[in-house]
Amino acid sequence: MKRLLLLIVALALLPLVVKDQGALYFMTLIMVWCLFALGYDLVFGVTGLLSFGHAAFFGLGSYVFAFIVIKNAALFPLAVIAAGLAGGLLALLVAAIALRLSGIYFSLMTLAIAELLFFVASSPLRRLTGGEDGLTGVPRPNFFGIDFYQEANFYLLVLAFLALGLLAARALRRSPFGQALNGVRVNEIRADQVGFDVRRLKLAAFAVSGVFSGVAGALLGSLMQFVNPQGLHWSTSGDVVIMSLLGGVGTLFGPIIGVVVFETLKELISSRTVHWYGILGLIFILSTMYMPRGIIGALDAAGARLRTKKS
Amino acid sequence: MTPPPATTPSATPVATAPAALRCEGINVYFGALRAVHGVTLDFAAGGIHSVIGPNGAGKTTLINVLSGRQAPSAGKVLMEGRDISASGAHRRAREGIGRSFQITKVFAGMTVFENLRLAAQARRVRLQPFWRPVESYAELAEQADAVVTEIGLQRLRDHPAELLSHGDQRALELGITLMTAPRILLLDEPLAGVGEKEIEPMMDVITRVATGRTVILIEHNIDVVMRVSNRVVVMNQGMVLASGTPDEVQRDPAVREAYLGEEDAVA
Repeated sequence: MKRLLLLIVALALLPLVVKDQGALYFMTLIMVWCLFALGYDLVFGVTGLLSFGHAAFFGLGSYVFAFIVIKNAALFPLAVIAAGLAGGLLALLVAAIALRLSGIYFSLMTLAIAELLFFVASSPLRRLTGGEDGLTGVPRPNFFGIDFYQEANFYLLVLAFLALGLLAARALRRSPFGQALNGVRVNEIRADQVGFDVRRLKLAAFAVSGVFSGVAGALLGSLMQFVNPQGLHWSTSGDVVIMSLLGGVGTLFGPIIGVVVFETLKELISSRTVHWYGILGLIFILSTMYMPRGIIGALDAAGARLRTKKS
Repeated sequence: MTPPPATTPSATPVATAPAALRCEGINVYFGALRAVHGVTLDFAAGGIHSVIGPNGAGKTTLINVLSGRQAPSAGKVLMEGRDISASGAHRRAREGIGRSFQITKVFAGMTVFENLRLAAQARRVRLQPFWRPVESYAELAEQADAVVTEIGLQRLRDHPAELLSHGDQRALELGITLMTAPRILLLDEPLAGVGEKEIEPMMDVITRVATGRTVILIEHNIDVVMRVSNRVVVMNQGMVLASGTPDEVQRDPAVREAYLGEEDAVA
């Protein structure tokens, strides 16, 4: 808890030091992805289900949000709630279908449904979604007379969402619900035989995760002032898997570290070469080989080694 | 050891009260393999009912059918007279059928206490507010601690489950099953892999938890089975070969020939 509050306070003080608009924009982007990864880890890290379709919930959140705020920017709070609900409901639906399968077939089904949505948004629903060109003119919110086009202000707003998300995710993990999800991951047969309704627990994990994803999608739309099908693309699902594994699944801070490292590397490498995704892939392969428990796992191990050396 | 109470000698007693658990005409096929064939059994309430038979006799498959893990190809399962064939494993667990596994299935990465607390939680169907950490539910901790004592693992309460000795893991396995407050206990080889010295204490625990419950026990250790069981069912090649009191079963010529052999392994 102390570490968590410290992180939130530190992040809140950052705009006092960082004045560069581009840097603030970039850090806000990272926080949006953190919220997404935080939600994703409930399914992947806690419940142990490998979803390749989380882009669907993220992307749908962006669109639902955009449809509402383009009409009226004042509806920002309502639009975020609607995006979260849409993400949660879609996640529930996708899980209900995909959970009829197990293992890799489950993962492929989540991927297939997300790809279907990507296709539908790109072409048949072109008139509604703007197709490949996307929707421009997605506004930032305006309330209390605060100018959210100032990156520092929008940064703080997104930080508030992230802080809420972090506290909620932490509480969820420690709650009986989170413990039950943990049990499902560790030993599904046992959990079932002890009386847990495993299918319902998995559905619930997806729904909650979908809410996180939908809200993150909405914030991304507002940040970029633009929504396009990229959010629904399979590479968005892939990125969040990579971020989680890179940082360390099943922990609160792991996915966050993963997002920061991934996005920072992407920013650094993509400004030098167009082959940045390949290099990132190589880094990812090496990190799973040498840090199977992610960066946070490696840090923990290093910390433990230091402690034993001292004593 | 108190001698087992006298039970009606007939193999299928005329049921006055419905059996704790009854299966009717159970068939289980795995492709062409006939794992269980035409099994009809009554497990009267109370006492220890053992199911014995050579490997591949269909004992574990039968337990899987009773616990709801395996849907039979044909036949039905009745609990206290009610047809529960359509209920899955988690629902049967909540109704009072507890089951332990032959291959230990504890929750790795959690302590003994956390394993038991998690199992205690499953029966609380009511939705819990997510902002309350699991530690704040005192009644869960109380139930878990009571069972820690019952299975004799107090000294290992806060040890990670996966680091326990095999015998202790078997005890924890039983403890997790007990957390579901079962009226009917299905125990699949609780002594599997348990060292010579740990057999007696483990059997003490089993006979103790059997009081007031109906226990269906699969076990290979014939000495133990004959000593603790009220009734014994012998299975062979997916079918029931004989059933009755330990004495009756031991005298049964078909049993002697097919399973116990002529070496007089049974004292």
